[in-house]
Amino acid sequence: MTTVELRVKLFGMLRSRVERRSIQLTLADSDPTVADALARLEREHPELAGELLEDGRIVTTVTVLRNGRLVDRDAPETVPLEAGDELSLTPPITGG
Amino acid sequence: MSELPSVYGGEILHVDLESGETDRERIEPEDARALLGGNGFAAAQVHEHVPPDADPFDPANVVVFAVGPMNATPFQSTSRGVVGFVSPMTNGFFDSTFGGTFPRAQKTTGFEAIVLHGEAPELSTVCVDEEGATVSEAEELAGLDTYETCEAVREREESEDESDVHVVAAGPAGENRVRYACLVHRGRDREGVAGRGGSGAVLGAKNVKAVAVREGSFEPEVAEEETFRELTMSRMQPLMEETEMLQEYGTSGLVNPVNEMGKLGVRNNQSEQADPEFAEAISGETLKEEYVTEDTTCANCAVRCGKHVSVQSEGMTQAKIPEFESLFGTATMQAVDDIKRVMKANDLCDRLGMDTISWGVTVAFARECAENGLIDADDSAHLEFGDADGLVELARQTAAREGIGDELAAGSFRLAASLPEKAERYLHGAKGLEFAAHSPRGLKGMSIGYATSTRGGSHHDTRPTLQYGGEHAETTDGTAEFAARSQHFTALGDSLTQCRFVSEGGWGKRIGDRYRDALQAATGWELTTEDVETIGERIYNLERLINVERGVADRESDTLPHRVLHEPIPDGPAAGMHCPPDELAAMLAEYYAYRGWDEDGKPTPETLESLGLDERAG
Repeated sequence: MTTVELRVKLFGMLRSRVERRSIQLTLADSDPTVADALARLEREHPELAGELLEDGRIVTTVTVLRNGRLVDRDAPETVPLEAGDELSLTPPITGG
Repeated sequence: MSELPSVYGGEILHVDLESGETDRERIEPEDARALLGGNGFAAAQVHEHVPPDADPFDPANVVVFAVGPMNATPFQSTSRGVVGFVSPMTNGFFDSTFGGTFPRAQKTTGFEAIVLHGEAPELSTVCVDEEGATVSEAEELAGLDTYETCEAVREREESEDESDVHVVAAGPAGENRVRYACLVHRGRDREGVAGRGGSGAVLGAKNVKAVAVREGSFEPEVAEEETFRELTMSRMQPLMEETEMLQEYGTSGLVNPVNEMGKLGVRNNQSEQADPEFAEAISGETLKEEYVTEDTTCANCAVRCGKHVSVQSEGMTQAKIPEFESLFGTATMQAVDDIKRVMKANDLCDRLGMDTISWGVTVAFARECAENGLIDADDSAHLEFGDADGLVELARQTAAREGIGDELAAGSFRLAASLPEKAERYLHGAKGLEFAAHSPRGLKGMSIGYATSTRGGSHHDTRPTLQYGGEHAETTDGTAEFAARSQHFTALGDSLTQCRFVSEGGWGKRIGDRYRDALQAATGWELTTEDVETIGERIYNLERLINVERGVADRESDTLPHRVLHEPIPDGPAAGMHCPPDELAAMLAEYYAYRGWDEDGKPTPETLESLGLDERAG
């Protein structure tokens, strides 16, 4: 089994809740995905419990980017993670 | 068609600035049903009264203040107003919206639209009440900034009567005809800025420093009160959940997310991702932590997206927070991360009365031209990327039209025309109006949306919101129709004069049954959802018709600047994206076909007839 280390950057209200700009995450799962990372964050950080996933989907109040690319909120389990990846957890992005 | 629904005040007020005489026009029920209000009414007035060959600064241009049918009802945040006019930036129809309390006060006068005609013989103010309007000489206001003007006019008018007065004003930039001069409304709680297109310059050309409205007694009555109230109540929870970021940070909360996507213009859009620490320094998170002192709000809005900031070292107390678009224009596009200086420049723009987007992008354009030796060294003071102090000085010079500021006051397109041809490579805008912050390279819907926008580089024609969520951001498949229907959505919203954030967050990002249900309950009209979308489509076609008649809308003008067409985003998550000419051409062909326009981008007689615009087209 390999481990995957990644950095999770927090923005907006999620940053306020965790009171940290970023979290280093080590995933020991085989072939980890974005869904695994989000589930792990919810387990390890009580402030995030129920704030990221609902029935396996990314909640509508959070946008997740993997290396700056939008993750499909309906299928985070289909997006694989690699060592050195960055996840950005931001508020929903509106039009200004 | 029967009677005019009771949500309408029933009249349009015409003011002749030269004579001071007024005239009341009754709103025909069929016109309300066809165009709703807001920008629909404004477009109809501009089309009827402004000759197609009139210069935007000619007295024949009009300035229209219009509100929507549901303003001053429980329908959330229909508290905005529209300013309609022919723009000195685009030479086409423009509608610029603003919030605060002025629009609701206008609604209580019973005048759904106030139309200013001609030119006052001396610097004047216009005060509207439910009886009509008074044009008063106001030379003592010359040179005052927008906030000082709002306060002075309010004090003067309220000393004559106890009822509340709400004011919108031009600043020195408007008096000096800076082409992108804006109008600023400062109420007791928050500011509202009709920022884009140059409404302040047109008002300045009319010798009008400020327009005031005195609250009246008209109260709109909705047709089905219980249904209407239930509908609005049912949308409160989704609205508050979807707008949490705006409640916390205002639009400045978008800086980090958009930068993370690599779709935020930097150094005049040479790249589209700032260093993360740069973005952090100007972000909503930093502003909230270090500078925000209070939330502010428009009438009838629980979101409270407005914020005030105080910066002791800059002598700023309770200043308006820079919006996301302004942070793009005055920080990332300038390569300036000194947030205190950026806030100072923004505060100056608000006080002097200048659009932060057009001004910022024009300065960034000039900076790139200077970097490439296209502007004489003698004129290049303050034109280095990263020069924060220079940014503040340029704001002052532009409003005063001093030195290089006199050229910056013309906007980037006119400035480019005075420089060697190569300067056109550095333009960042469409149809004479500088782009807002949403990438025309990184968002395909914005590529075609900006190219076909009746306002030019506006992000309130085709909306970027759904694109950030993954729809039509990176594909051209179906994107032309998407952009067109988004334009119907914004035209509908601006005729309802509903805040876009509230609309998108609480009622839906597309025209859907909810809007139909609310409009039906408010007016009593029998409507299908298709009928409601047709209203948006009709208004958009009317705006296009004005621009076609003015000679500023055709296939040739539906285009994008050199960098967007030819230079891919160089790095970051969106590296490689742009809109090559053949891609734009294909989307335009699809767009025209969807709209029922000819190959030159002009609405066909059949299309105009199907939308009931054939008589207006003559």
